Amino acid sequence: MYLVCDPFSLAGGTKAMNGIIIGIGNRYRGDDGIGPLVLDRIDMKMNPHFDLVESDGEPTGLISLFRGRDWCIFIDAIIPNVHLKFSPGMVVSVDLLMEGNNKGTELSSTHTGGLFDAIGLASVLGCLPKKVFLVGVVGSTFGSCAPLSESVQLAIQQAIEEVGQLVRSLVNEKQGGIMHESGMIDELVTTALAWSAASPNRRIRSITVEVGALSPCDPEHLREHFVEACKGTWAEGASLIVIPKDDITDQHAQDVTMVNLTVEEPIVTIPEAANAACHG
Amino acid sequence: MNREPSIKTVTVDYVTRVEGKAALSLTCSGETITDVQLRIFEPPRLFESILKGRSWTEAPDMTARICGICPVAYQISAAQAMENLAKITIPKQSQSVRRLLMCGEWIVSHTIHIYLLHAPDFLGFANAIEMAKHYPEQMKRGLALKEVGNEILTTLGGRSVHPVNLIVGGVCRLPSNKELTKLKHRLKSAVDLARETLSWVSSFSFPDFTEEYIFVSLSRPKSYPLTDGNLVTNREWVLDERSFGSVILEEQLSYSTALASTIGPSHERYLTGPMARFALNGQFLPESILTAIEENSIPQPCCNPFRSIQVRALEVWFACSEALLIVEELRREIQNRNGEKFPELQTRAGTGIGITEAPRGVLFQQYDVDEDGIITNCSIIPPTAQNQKQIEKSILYFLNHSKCGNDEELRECAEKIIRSFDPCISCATHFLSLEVQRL
Repeated sequence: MYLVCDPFSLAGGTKAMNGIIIGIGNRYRGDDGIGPLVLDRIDMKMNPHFDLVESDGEPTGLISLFRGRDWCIFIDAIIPNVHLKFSPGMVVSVDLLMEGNNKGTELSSTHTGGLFDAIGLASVLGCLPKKVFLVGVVGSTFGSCAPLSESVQLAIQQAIEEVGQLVRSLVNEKQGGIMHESGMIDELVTTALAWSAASPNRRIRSITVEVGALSPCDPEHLREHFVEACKGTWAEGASLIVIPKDDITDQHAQDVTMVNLTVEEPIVTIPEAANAACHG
Repeated sequence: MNREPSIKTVTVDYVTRVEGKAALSLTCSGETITDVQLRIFEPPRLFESILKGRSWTEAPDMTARICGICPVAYQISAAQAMENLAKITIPKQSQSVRRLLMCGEWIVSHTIHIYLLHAPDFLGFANAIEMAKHYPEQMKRGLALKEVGNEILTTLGGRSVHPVNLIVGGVCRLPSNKELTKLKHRLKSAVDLARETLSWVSSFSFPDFTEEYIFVSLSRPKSYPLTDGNLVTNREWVLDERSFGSVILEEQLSYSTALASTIGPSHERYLTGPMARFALNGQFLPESILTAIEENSIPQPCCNPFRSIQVRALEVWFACSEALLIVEELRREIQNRNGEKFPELQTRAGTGIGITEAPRGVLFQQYDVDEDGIITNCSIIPPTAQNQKQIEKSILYFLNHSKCGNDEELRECAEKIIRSFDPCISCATHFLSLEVQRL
């Protein structure tokens, strides 16, 4: 028996990861332009899960950008602060959803409203991304048509690296969480058993899966979880055939897809009386 | 025992939920407020000096930088001034694109004021975020409406803030049929959102307070003004574009960086903006909006500044309906077009005036240009500068009318009346902290 299934959803029914990197600032106001300038230098291919967008920081515009996003990384200029020991050229990475880090101003005006107003309003409206970070670069000159200060110029590379590190940690976290192999294998076995239910009392002999080029799953790790997940079911003893794919442009490049299911011939059910006789 | 009334000064150091920065000083003698000073302390912007020595074609892009909320009004006023000066007639489709851009700007500006700045006052919240906790669906509606305005600006103007498509002579690019079709669908849903907005704000309780105003706005034959028209008032003066500098005069107030305007020989205060437009042109609104005005008992003229939220809501509805009409018309024309010819721009010495209805009211610009096309002189009079003296008068009248008790109540009442005029202080700087001096 041979079955070709549609790609099944990953555990938890997740969709493709969806993030946004927003560079806030005005390119013509000295160090205020750091957000857009860092954005220019981020390699679009660095991660396919993130869109790059430049913004003037207007709160309602930012809320529009949050829609449907799991993660958001802001790149923005910060003004020097003696108390916080923020000096020009310093790069800080802040989790804005961590308590105490998002204390902003009240939404006082559309001219002065900003990042924290957007986060506050989006939080109330339930459209805030699950993770929101700020990579801030402390600036010193914000004059009209002023060039980027030397200290901020020297900080560009570090800001890019901070953004890169955040992207990697967010993707890894997701892969280590929702895309965890055991949860996914449980769903695979459940799906396979549901398919084989069409042929009652038949054991599953093998399940073949394709592992996308961008999937974080390790074949060996998958097999270990598979053996455990099959115990006590019609799939116990089945083998897992893993076909690694190498096309990163494939629409299922991030997925693990069940493509084949083989089922044994019907098992002859032994009448209860005979069974009792055998043991008698 | 006779006692001298106590003299006291109450200050609001920084008025919140208004565009830009201003402070307010109140002088009280006993329970009566005797003087009000709206101190606009944003530094002077000096745009008029910056423009001198620049080419006549640069004015639209440069004046757009005066405001991030109403750049289109600045661009159109400047472009029209130069086109009047050089006797250029712009193509019809470019004119339609300009009107559409202005609709987008009205939708964005008014929607921000209604939902984020003004509505919390009526529902008893300190700010929009607090209000959104209790009215999330309404806030989402506001944001959706504003997004449609932004989409118009982005599609037609190239970007939502400081659009780049608008130049002397017309526009650089006409929209594609595909873009217009997409806008049409968005605007159809926006009309419904705007209708719901008017119903929502009409359910608010408004203070029982009315004033007599001298209204000034543009007026067009049988249509609601947007980008052009003749200057009109509800008083005896016959106005035209030359009235700025003759009937309408500017004066420097010692406590403000904005020039304040007055009208007539007695230097009277006047009001421009949504209430003025509605009072002088309300009869030209579409039938569906006129019916809603009657159903929601909106007085016309509307002389209660707190009810201006209703007027802004009906103007949003108008802007959405008008934009939809323009989009339909543009689609037909663009499908059948033979190609519009961009007018030839020939340098000409002279004086040009451009007046538009920015979201907050009449925006006047006048330029002198020499034979080389260089700007030698210019005058820009934004709506908030014109309204400054009327706002002061209204604060005085309302605070004495409302019999506020302590200074905290005074501050709250003062901020509320100021917000109902939706001043754009950044534009006026050519603005609020409150100072009360008790005598």
